[in-house]
Amino acid sequence: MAARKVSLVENLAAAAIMGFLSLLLVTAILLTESAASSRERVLIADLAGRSVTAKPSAIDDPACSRVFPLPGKNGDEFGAVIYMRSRSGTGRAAALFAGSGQLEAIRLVDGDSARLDFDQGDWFSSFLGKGADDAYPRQAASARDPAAVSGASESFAETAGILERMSLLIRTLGKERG
Amino acid sequence: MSYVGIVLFSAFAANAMLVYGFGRLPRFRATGSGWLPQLIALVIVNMLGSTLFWAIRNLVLVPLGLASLDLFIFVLAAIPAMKSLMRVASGGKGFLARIGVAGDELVVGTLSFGVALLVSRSGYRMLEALVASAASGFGYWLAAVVLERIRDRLELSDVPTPFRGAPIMIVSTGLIAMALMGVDALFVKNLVGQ
Amino acid sequence: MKTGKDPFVPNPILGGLVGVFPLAAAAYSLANGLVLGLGAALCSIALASLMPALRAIAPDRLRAPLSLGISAALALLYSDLIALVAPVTGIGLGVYLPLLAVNSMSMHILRGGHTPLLKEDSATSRMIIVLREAMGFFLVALLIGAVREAAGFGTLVFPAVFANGARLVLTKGAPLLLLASPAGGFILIGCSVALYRVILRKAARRIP
Repeated sequence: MAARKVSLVENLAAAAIMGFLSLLLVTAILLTESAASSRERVLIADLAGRSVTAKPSAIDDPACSRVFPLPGKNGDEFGAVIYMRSRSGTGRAAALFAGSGQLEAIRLVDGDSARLDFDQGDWFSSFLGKGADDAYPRQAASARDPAAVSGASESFAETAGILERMSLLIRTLGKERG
Repeated sequence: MSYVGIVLFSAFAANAMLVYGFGRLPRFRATGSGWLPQLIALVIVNMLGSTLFWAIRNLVLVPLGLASLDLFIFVLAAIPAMKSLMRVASGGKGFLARIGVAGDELVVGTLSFGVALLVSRSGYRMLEALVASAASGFGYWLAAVVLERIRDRLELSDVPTPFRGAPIMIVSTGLIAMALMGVDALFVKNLVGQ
Repeated sequence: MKTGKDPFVPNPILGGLVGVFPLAAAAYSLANGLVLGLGAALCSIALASLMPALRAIAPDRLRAPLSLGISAALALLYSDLIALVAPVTGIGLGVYLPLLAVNSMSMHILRGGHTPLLKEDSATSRMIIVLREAMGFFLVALLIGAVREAAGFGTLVFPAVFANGARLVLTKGAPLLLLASPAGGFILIGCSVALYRVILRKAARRIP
């Protein structure tokens, strides 16, 4: 009986330690999320040329965590900061989509400067105007300036995949918002 | 990506050992479990870990907006269960016991955790995550078997003293990794389609 | 081999082969080497500081799951911090940051380190050994990252948070791009381990 009591106390102590750690982690996550959200808001506002005040919608995508709606006279637009990662490097870009899912603007915010793949040339413009019914280019060869994309690069395909997913997601969000 | 694409990608283009650097220098002979139990243990531990990780992350934490807690909850909820399962298996007899012993060593480590993290955070559906984790286990095993063969040959070679043992094996791992450099996501997509 | 008050602490990476594989795959730039090395060092120091308290309050059967839980919490806290201060480096390192929970350095500390400790060693001297190992890990990870970036890309880019993102262009183009890939990482680390052995032999030291 006494051994059981001791065991119970030990288990409770262990649970308390883990509970405390969970609380600590949740607090840290909330703080980080809030700070990251504020920074992304600034980047999107800079790209869109107007302030972003609406609450972001959380999404679960490996490349993006939240989408900011930008209500406008000609229908809603959506802004997101996307993270692109391939064997060729890492990049972070702010993107602006129309409610139909079409990519209206995109700008590289910063990149893993050691690997310049995302940074070379203005190859993001190959994706502009795509989305909605007009699919993103699948091969670098069909892009506007293939040389700037350093051939059929993995980063190009990765970016096309991310933008396609985002476009689909924003179309759904746009429909939900009416 | 199709299931064939996922298998090729996970086993080769994203090889757990040679591309992601999960796990450590394999020592199958030292553990004495043999290659087949190691392969089965690798696949089972990877599949079990990834499935539990995927479920905890996508079914529980994502709806709560706490996806970043995935590893912590996985360690608290799934690892003790996986450890117990492997210990029960290792308490059995014959082949099952060898799988259990090999699996028990694999539960906590960069290989099982890394594969679980990768497949759960890649946006795969559950069945895709399961297939990807099994293929990752197979890819790791394949790399380990090749390295083990190289080790056998190197033992009979005249390797300079400072390179004997681990250094030449690490360099050999690099040379094998070079062979996989041409296989990337784009190559697999072009090979099997989207 | 010297023991007692001044034990020889071999470098965990080059002497103990701790964390070699993840470093070969992920530490391809100065920023990555710095963030990974710092993370491994901080997590191992924090773990080593918490272990005596854990030994005092937790019974044997709960010690392993608790220490793993603490290790996971530390790794996630560090990942969050990096996501905040250096988001691109954090994304580039991907799963390697949470993996610090079970990275060989943390496991190495949980198992008691590489250097055999004597019974009469005090908690302070144990902590000093851990600090030396952590420092050794950090410095070698940083060096590996810097050498790979300099030779692989011809640049040295400091993370924004540490040196205002200063960028040093050493050469135009990429002189030895292979070194920036995991394959090059393995080859470089393998050669570094061999070199370390030569140096140890010259200094009449042996890895315990």
